[in-house]
Amino acid sequence: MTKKIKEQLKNLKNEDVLSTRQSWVLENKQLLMSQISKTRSDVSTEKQKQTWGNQWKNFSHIYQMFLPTNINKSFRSVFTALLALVLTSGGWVASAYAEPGDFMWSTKVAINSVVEQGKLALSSEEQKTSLKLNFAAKSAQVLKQVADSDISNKDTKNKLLKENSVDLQNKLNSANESLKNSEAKDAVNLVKEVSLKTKEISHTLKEVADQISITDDASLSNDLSIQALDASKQSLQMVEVVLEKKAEVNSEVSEEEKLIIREHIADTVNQMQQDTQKAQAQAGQLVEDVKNDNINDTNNPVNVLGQNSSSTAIVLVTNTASTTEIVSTTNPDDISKIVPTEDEVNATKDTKTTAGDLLTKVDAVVKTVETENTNVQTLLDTNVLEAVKKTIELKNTVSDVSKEVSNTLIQLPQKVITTIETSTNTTTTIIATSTSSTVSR
Amino acid sequence: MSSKYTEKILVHKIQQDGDTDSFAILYDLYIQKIYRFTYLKLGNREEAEDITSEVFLKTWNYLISNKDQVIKSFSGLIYKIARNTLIDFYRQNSQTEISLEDLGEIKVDTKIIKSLDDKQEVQRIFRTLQKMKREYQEVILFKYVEELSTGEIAEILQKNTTNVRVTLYRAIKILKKLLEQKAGKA
Repeated sequence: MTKKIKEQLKNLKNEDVLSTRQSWVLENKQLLMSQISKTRSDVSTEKQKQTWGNQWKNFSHIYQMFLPTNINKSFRSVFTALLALVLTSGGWVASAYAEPGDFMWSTKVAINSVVEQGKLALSSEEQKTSLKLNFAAKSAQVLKQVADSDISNKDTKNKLLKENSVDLQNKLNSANESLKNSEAKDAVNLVKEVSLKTKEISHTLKEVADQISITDDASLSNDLSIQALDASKQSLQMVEVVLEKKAEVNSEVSEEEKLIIREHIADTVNQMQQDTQKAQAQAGQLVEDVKNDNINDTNNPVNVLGQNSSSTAIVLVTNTASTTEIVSTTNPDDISKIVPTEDEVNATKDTKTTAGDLLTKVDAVVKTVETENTNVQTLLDTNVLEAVKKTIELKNTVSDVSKEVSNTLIQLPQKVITTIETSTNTTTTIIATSTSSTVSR
Repeated sequence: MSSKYTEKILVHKIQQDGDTDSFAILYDLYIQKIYRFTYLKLGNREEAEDITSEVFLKTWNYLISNKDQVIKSFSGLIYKIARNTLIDFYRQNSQTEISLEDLGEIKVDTKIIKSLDDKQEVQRIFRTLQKMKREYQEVILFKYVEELSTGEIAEILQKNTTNVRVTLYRAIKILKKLLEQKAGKA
């Protein structure tokens, strides 16, 4: 009889009345999160400085949390021996709180990599995708940490950023592969995790890309922006894969999952609108610059500004994307080389046409995003998978045009028109050096 | 084991960084359990929902206010807070736990009967539990409905594990005896 009572008590929790209402759970969660987010900002402002004292305290806290309660058991000696081994491995302790640019940073990264591989090796197949997503999310946080750090040497910082962005991409790709290869029954519960984590990763990438653009490393910023765009697209593609796997096993998309996907799509569309507006502004500026002849084709790095005689020419030479020099030369060979040819003149005309076409294309995409967004919202109520597919198509279109605009801007450096004040009788004399933003004499 | 390990990490992140995402994960893990516990004590859905919300908020405030406190078991902490919140609720509302009228409502509205052999058996178990000391009632709920370990129950009730085992043994014995008495009368 005792057994029967125990079984009946255990079965009670399966009853409907003891189950929560899904709508209440979601509403309550949102309310709770908004309440605690206010207290969270207080916690953040009080965040302790990373002094050695506080770092030891933090470590001690972790140590005590994971220490077995009943330490008098036989594991004590084994645990103590392991702990002694770990503590004497000074690198592990010293690197635990290393910051980007610190001496022990690379050690910390290496140790984390070993730990991650260990976890993967010990995990079951159904846990691998989830684990890899966590690793990718963590890698994004590390990238942000590097971007936020105050490393004085710019080259070191940029190198770290590049390394971490590659690491992040590899981890995200690995999670994606794992998801595609996973069994449908293992993937059905991953909608929420995939959506939230991949969205977080693409947001972080975008933040870092925007942060870097305020420095003068336009190439790195561009690469990160493209990576952010691709991550955002990949994020939706992974959600699509999970939904397809759910469909394979006839698993319904729950209300909570629909809500999460709806938020994901809204976030993506919002981002697309921002990207298209930015591309529109850039393309518009490009058209203006070309109209005002501020753009020089890289195939024609030299412009003749003036020719005093058949033996002297004042020319503007574009050396790199950001520097130009004004040079006077009397060398007949130089003069014959630098007078613009018909092809060079035509190249300039092509540039104007290209800029105009680009703006037209961007305008069309802006309109498409507005129209298709309405269709996607309607589809969400009836067919979530189709809504996601449609959003991906739209995202591809927006990404392509954004990349085209960015690449065009990088390939067409601006020139600065300067006035010529003097010329000399020497063969070549540098009169002035100018950059795209300053003129020095 | 691995879920407990994960919970410890989440708790640590909440205490040290005020990480709301970690708290959201714990919310998802425990909402059902805490609601069930409070419902079994109150017998009223709305009150159980209110108390459950309050418990989570109190838990968050406790974690961020006690950064240096070592929390060995999150489940122990949250159930303790739930228990104390219920006690405060009873005091404020001068209520006892589930009344027999509410018990009747549960039986009719909730279709508990479909998973049990005999609907009267459920009634008997609930009514009998109500007659027992709160301490015995709670150990039975924690052990057999919430399926917590003896260690966790010990932490919630602030007793040692031997004490909990003894209390549980006595509680089941008393429950069985009371049920047999009722069956005999019937």
